[in-house]
Amino acid sequence: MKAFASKKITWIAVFTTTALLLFLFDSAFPRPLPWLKPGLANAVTLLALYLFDLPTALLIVILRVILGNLLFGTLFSPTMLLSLGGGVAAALVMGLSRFLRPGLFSPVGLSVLGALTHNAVQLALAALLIVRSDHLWALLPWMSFSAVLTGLLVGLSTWLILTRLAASHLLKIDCLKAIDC
Amino acid sequence: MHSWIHSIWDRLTPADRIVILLPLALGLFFVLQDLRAPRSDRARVTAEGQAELLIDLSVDSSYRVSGPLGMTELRVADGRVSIVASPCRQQLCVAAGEIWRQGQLLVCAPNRILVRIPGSSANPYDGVTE
Repeated sequence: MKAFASKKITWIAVFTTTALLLFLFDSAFPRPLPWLKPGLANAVTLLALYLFDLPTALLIVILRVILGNLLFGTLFSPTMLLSLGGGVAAALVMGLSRFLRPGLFSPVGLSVLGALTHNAVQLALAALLIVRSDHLWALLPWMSFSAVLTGLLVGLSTWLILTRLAASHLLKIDCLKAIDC
Repeated sequence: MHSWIHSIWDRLTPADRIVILLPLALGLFFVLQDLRAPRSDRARVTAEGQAELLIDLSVDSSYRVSGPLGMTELRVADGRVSIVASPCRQQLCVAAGEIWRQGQLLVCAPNRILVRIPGSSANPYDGVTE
C-alpha cells in the first residue's frame, strides 16, 4: 500500500511538472491570433484521465494552475481565476464523459470538448466576475474556432502518445474503443 | 495528399465529428455576420467603477483609461480604435488590433477594460441599459 502511494505521488509530480512546462511554453509561444492559445497543458489532463482517474487529473490541473500563476506572479489574481475555472471545468467535462460514457468520444473528441469548455467557462467567468459585461459573449464564435483548432492539435498529440504507450506495454491502459491501441 | 486526414477522420466517433463540426459551423455563421456589420464612428469604453467613456472615431487621438493594474492606452486613427499599451501580462488586447465595425470588442480582462463599438438594431441592449 505504501509502495503504491509513493509511486502514485511520483507520477502526479511528473505529470504536474510536464503540465507546468507546457503551460509556460504556451504563454511564451507567439500567437498568430490573440485568442489562439494552444492549451498544450490540456494534453496532460487528458493523459491523466486515460492513465489514472478524474480526481487525480483534477489534482494535477489545480497544482499546475497554482504553480504556474505563482511563477508568473499572478497568484490569486483574476488571471488565476480564469485559468483555474477553465482548467477544472475542462477536466470535469472530459472526465465525466470519459468515465460515464466510455467510447462515446475518442481522445480527439474529448480534447476538442475540453478546449470548448475551457474557452466558454473562461468567457463566462470574465463576463460575470471580471469585466461584468454581457457584450463579452460576442467573442464566443471566434473562441469556438480556436478551441476546435487547438483541441484537434492537442487531441491528436494525445492520441499518438496513448497509442505508443499502449504498444510499449510500459503502462496498463484500458483499451480505447474508437482508437486501435 | 490528404489521405492522412481521411485516415484520422475515419477513426473518429460520430460524437467526435459533431463536437468538431458543430462549433465550426456555428462559429462561421456568427463570424460572417460580424464581418458584414457596418462601421461606426463611436466607441464605448467601460472601466470598472468609472463612468462610461464615449469616444469619437472620426477624430484621430489617444486616450488613457485607468484600471486595477494601471493605465491602458487607446489610440484612434483612421476611424479605428485599438489598445496600444496595457499593463497586463498576456497583452491579448494589444494583439487583438483595431476595431471599427458595430458589435466588435476589445477586452483586457486583467485590467477590467472593455472597448466596444455599439450596434444599431442588431443589439437591443443599446439605449435600454446604457
